[in-house]
Amino acid sequence: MDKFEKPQIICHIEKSVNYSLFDSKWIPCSAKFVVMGSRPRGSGIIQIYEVSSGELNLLKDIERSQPIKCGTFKASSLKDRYLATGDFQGKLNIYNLEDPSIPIYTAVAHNEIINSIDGVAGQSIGCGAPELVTGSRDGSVKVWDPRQKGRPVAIMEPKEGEERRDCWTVAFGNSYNSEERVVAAGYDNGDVKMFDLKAMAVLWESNLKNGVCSIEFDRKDIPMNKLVATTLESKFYLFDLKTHNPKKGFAYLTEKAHNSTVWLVRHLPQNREIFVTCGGGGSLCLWKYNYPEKRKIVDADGINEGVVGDLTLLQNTIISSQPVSSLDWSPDKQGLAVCTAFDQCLRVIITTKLNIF
Amino acid sequence: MDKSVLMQKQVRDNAEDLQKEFLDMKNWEEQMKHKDEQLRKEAGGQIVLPPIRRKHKNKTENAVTKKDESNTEMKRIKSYDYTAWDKFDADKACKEVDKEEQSDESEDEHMSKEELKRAHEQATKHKNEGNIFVQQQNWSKAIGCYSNAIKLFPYDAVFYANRALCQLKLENFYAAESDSSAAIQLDDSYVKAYLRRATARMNIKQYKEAKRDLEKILKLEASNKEAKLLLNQIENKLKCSEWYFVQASTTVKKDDVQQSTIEKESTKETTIEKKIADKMWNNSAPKVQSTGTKDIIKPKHMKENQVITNVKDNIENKKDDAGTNIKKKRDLRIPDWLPEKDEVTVIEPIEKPPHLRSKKSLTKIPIQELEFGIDQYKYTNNKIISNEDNLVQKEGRVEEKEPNKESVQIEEFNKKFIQMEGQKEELCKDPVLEPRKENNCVKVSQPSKDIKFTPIPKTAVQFLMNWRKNNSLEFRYEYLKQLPENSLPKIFQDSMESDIFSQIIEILSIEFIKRKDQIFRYLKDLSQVKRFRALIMFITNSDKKNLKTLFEYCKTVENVSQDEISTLKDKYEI
Repeated sequence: MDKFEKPQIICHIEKSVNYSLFDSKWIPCSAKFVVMGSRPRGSGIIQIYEVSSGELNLLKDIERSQPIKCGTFKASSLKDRYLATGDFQGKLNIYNLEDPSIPIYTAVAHNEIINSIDGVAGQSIGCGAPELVTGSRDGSVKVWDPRQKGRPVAIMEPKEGEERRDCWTVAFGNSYNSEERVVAAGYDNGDVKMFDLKAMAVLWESNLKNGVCSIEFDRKDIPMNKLVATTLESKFYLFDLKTHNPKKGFAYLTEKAHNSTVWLVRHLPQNREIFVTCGGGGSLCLWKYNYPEKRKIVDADGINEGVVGDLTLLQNTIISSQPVSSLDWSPDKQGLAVCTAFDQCLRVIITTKLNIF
Repeated sequence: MDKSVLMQKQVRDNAEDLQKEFLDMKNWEEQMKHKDEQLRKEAGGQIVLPPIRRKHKNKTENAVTKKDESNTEMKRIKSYDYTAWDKFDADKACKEVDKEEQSDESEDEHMSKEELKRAHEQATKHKNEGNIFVQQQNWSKAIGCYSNAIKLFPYDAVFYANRALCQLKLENFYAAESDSSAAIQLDDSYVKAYLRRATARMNIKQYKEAKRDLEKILKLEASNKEAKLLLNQIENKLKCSEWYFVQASTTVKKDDVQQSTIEKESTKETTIEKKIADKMWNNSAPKVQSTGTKDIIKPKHMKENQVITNVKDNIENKKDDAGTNIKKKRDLRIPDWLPEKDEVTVIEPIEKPPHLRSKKSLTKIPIQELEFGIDQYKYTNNKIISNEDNLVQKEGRVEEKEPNKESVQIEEFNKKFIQMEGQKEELCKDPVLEPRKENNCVKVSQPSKDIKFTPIPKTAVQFLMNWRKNNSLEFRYEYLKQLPENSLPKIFQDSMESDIFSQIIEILSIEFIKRKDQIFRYLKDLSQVKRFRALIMFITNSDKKNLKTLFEYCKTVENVSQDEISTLKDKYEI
């Protein structure tokens, strides 16, 4: 009964390709998206598709020498819509998709594969400089400004001699004015670190016991509110970042889902309380966060302590037989998303009834 | 209502929802396309973006004023107690800050006016110190002071110009040029900077650029005497260098030797290469100027043929223009006090970037030391003649060893031969007379010199290269002469060509017979070369004639047995 009132996740278009897909991103302000991946022979590929009356039209096919792991449009303005990518060799490239033959920006960012890239402030004005952050297997997290050639603006890596953990995921947040900015990074040993770029210091760190696959703030351009981190072993964590207690840290909740690795978390751009997690079994879970009555309480010592709310599972669908490697909500249409899975398929999915929340 | 009815309604609703969603999608697609198009057309005003993130240097300076930079940096970071990453970043950040201070000048874009003023004051102090050093002529210390000033405040043209002056005094012309360029960039009407750059450029032989600078000065300050003086000098130099190249090519034209074409090519090459080198080698050390007193040739990374041409040009210049031309346009670098100033040509070193240099090993060029006053022309002549005399003496000795009877026969044979080969008469004349008649001893000496440097070939390619490089009979004779017995088939394998074959036979019949050398072994070797039968098939009549004389020679002079000759003759199909 109740089942039918819930939002439905429907696979609108499915397309099989002949290469491994790693990432997909909507091109802002268009019905087009890019997918990035690796050819069987080890070269990289970027494809641009357009959604057109229930079908996908391949618009462009860009071959690169190195497989491309991740990409983002977030650090580029709506006018330019340049795609920033990280490849298997550790190179950071920015492409003008109108003329993608030569990247407009290239930097040897890392010694090893760039696992994750995120951008900020490209489209939102007054939220600081457009910047990119890359996380790599070499254990370092670097912040880049496309205006500064070849050199990162900030590097966050372990000390010399310390163990270098594989950084699996990075995300920007807290970029609500031109100075404040935070980078969150998740590592393969379960470490989560939050770097304050304004103070150039570690703001907070924790260990989630299992490797952190994906991390995301609910919004980048607001004072940090919530952070979701997904891990191996079918668990994910939601932190309330409003209040930091010196002893207990941030209030958080954990949730079990998917019965496998939770590969990904993506917040809905149109509603920050709703997010989707993608599982190793090809399942998608749609969640809604419910705030508690009071977001903070004062404990016995008179120190503020955060209170975490709870989660409602809105929908659980299996769309693929293989892990879902990427999912991107369309910034322009609520409920529309593109996702790629390791079964070499890309899918445009529609989620209905999101407007009722 | 019934539950099942409700469920049915839900399902229908869902289907409707989906339909609506799909319809919506379509509309949205249209809308998006439109929006996309519009966005693309939009020129888009420039959005003022916040500055690139830096290592918070400015903020630290604002927060903690009047404290040592490094101190504040350290202190700041200590205040964060997050151990691991924090400590690390402190070191790194400090280094980065230092680095940025040096490399990235745009850093200071964000300095406030006050800070700039202060920096300028400090920098001026350094500059004044530098000026004092300049007065004491302590150039290197002055450079240090100016460098400090520039580090503090890189926007003052005066600092750069002053440093350029010191560099000039220390003869660091390249540094001087770049400094004055920096000064000009900051202040494009700074006459002194232009003057210094012109001087520097003159010293690094960028005359045209120097000229441009001077012209600019005269535009800015028409009455600048120094500039005028320099301009005159430069124009002289420009003329001189032009004249040099013109001269070089004309002498070659006059020359009627067969090598003239090769020489011309190489002189052209040198001029072009010189131009390229001038452009590309801006950073090389000041060029070596050859001294006038002794004609010392110092080949530095030269191709051997260029060396030779230069030497030749040199000698020919002396010969042809005994003072007439040179008197008018003497090279400025030749001092007046030299007794033979009119006969000295300055040989420019050829400077090439490494990738253009020859891969061959350098050839040895004998250095001749000449004494003053002796006429060069005569000297070389004498020397060559004495060389030839030696040669004749050698020949004489060879003749002495031969039995007397035979020598008579040889003379007869020679006469006969000369009659036969009437057209090649001049070449076959007695070697003693030849050099005397042909006075151009330079050319004669050339091949004999070369022979010493041509090694015994190991492959056909080597052989052909050397063979074709020098087509004088004498050279080829010597070249063949040095080949050991049985080496010809090994060298050539199966790549003997008919023209080479006939050339070898020609040399054998002309030079070898003339000198009464062993021929039979060559004929034997040749017959063992692969594809010999094919070669014989395409043999020309003159070659046949030559071969016949050769066999005749073998029979009469070398006393080869009749059997051997006849078997070989069979092979040669004669």
